[in-house]
Amino acid sequence: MAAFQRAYAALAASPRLCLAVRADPVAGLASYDLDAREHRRLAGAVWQRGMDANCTLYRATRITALNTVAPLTLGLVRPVLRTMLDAYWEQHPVHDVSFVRETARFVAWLEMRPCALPEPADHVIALARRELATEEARLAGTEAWFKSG
Amino acid sequence: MKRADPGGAAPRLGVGIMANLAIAPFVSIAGAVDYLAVTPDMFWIDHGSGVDNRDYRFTDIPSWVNMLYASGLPMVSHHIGLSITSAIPTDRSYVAQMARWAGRWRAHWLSEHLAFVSIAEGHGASAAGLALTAPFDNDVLSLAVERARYVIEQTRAPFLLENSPYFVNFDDSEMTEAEFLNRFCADSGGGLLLDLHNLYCNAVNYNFSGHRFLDQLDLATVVEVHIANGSELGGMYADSHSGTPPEPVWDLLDDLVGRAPNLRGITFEFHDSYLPVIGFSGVADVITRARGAWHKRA
Repeated sequence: MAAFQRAYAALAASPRLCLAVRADPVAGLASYDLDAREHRRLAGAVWQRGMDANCTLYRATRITALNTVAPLTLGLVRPVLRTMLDAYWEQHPVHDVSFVRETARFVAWLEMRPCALPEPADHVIALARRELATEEARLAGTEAWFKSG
Repeated sequence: MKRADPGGAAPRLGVGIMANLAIAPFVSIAGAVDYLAVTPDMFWIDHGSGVDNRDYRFTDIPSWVNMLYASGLPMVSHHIGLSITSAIPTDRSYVAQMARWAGRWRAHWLSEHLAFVSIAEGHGASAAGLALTAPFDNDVLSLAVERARYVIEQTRAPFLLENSPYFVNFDDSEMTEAEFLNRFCADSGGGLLLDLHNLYCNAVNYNFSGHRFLDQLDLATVVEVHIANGSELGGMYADSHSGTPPEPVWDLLDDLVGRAPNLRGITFEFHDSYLPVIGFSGVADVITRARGAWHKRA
């Protein structure tokens, strides 16, 4: 069951994997230790129209984290946002439920790719760092409030 | 034989609303709602299961918690992080936090969704990135029942399972959704949080009658009901909490209330981003109409 859930979540996260499984279910699901029924279920699931909705929901969840912490940065990179997020999610397929950790990872990823950013790229990176630092400071204030009782 | 009431000693609360910051001015008006349904996971920061000192894994978000202090309303806990059907070990630290929170705010009951949000990853777990519904199979039922029993044991409070909307249908499941929910309640001692809008979503997407679905459920297990609105998403109808419930959801509510003898509360769910669309007067209209249904109950 664990492998089935991992594979199902991976499909919901990746339209590309869904297309690969449509084209060749055996190869597309080869990296998951599925029994015959599980394999049959997922090979059929990728043809259901609801899988598109799952993929959309997954993306909405992940972009919500980044947009909550770094909305101005996302606005600045809007012309390349879709391509950039596809590449980021491809490289980091596992979602971090902490908005700050997810955004910190994204900012670090941006820092390694200044050529992919709209000009001036150094301004984009500086803004991203500042938005992240602001959220970290806000949460640090939250911690201080909590510990002071 | 008459089966036990899964609501236990919990009072009949009336009509409530899902708490969010935008609604704070509304719920502060005396008599505006009868109770608050709270998603505790939005009121704390979870620093992760790797945190050594469990007292510091979960810390309050003051702006949200202050709203609860200010409201003074009865409360129920509606969780999103238990991941009741995940094929991973139960997160006992999370369950302990459920119990602490319920005790602190005197939650009359706790609930969770029929879904998995965590997946096995190496020796640990990671987030799936969305809530997914597993097939309605016996091994999934066993997982959910075992986890629910543990929650009930640890929290000593009624525990409810909410039916979820699903966008992928495994039509070779070993039982129907209604059979799954009935067996869950019978085997775990838990009850149902019947989300009538989730039911409506599934009925629209898979072309069945929500009223027939009610006929198949043991309605004595229903302790709480959710009502909401939705919208189109990728060719499916989704539970987006987008404002005033549509007429078919009101019809389902009217059909249900007279047949659910253990019903304790009707909760209106809407996402705070839709407040400019519905307005406080629109929220008040929904609460008034829901109270009309509440007074028709058995």
